[in-house]
Amino acid sequence: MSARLVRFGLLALLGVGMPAACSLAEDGPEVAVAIPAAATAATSGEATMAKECSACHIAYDPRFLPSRSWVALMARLPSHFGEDASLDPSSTMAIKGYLTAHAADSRYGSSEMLRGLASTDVPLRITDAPWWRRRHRFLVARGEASSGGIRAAAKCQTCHGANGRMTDDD
Amino acid sequence: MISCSRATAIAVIFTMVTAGPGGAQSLPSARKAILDGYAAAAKQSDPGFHGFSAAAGQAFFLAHPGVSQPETPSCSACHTTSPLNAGRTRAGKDIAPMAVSRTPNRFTDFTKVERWFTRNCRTVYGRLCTPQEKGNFITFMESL
Ligand code: HEC
Ligand code: HEC
Ligand code: HEC
Repeated sequence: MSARLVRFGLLALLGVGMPAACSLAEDGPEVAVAIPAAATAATSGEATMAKECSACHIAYDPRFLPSRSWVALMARLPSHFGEDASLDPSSTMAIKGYLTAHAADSRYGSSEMLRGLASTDVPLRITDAPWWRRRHRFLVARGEASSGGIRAAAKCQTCHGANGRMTDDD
Repeated sequence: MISCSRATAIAVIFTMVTAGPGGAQSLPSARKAILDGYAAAAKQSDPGFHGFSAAAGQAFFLAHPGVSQPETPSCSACHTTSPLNAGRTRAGKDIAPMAVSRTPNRFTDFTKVERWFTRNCRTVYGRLCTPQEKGNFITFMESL
């Protein structure tokens, strides 16, 4: 379990750390000036997400759902799993930009997280995504990932560390 | 209901009183500015406005208006019946106590205050709260 835990954390860190390192390596020294700007833009959508999407639950990792799912979720924040999670338009745009750019079907995603997902499927829950249900058959079997309301399995932090994604510390 | 132009006027007042340059404002004065803004708005919609009441704020906090989904019947469903206690979201995150004596930076960031009144009033009361209700609520949280 703890080896898994470490991998889970590393995955999250790599997702954020890699792009800057890659563009540095690929593009050579000339791009050194452009990198901080890109990094700042990425950080601001990410920071807004980390702040606004962590008040009620952990800030879920964007790679866990395809971008169409994030678009659908962000379009209906006023009725979000039985609660109103509405946000001002500019925060909504910033967060949507970050989530879709880092989604399962972005360059940060993986084929594992898309396998079994029809192109017409738009899961609104990570716990409804095929990859998640494959990986957590024991939770699906225990009925912890089927409620229409609160799902025990959506508390990733119970098994994956203090905040699941390991970037938000309140 | 606040009309559009009035809402704009209120927003302008808030911006003037809360957004001091450098943000060097103390927490109590930031909170007072927010309360003053609600008082001005309450007075506009009700000329007989008599100020805010902690007792009315408490009743509002504990009430079960009966219009919400069963999981969120009252403010106290997440914030617990005593604002001195830490609360818990339905999804299992801790919420710092609402009482200002326990969490001194409560009700000092106007954007945050409005965002959560909007959300939680809709979730629990199925509507937006009035400036009178918001002021009563904050006054109750300051009284503990
Ligand atoms: C006002 C509280 C609140 C806020 C703010 C909030 N959520 Fe949620 N969210 C919930 C609740 C309640 C659930 C249902 C959790 C459960 O099943 O245990 C949920 C569930 C989710 C799920 C599905 C979890 C699963 O089962 O896989 C996702 C994804 C999600 N939220 C994304 C977001 C994003 C993105 C934001 C920020 C824009 C956000 N949430 C902000 C309350 C909130
Ligand atoms: C009750 C404990 C539990 C909960 C809750 C839980 N997981 Fe897991 N998770 C596990 C276990 C155990 C595994 C290893 C499964 C396997 O053998 O592949 C795992 C595997 C994973 C993996 C694969 C990582 C790896 O290193 O293999 C990811 C990613 C993951 N979980 C994400 C999540 C997310 C996101 C949530 C919340 C929506 C969540 N988990 C909720 C226990 C849990
Ligand atoms: C579903 C859970 C839930 C319910 C029900 C709920 N709240 Fe909250 N409330 C929260 C969360 C989560 C926060 C943000 C976390 C924090 O500020 O520590 C919050 C924050 C607030 C804030 C912002 C406080 C600040 O620091 O500025 C106000 C105001 C507020 N709630 C008022 C209410 C009122 C009024 C009701 C009832 C009409 C209510 N809440 C019902 C979960 C809830």
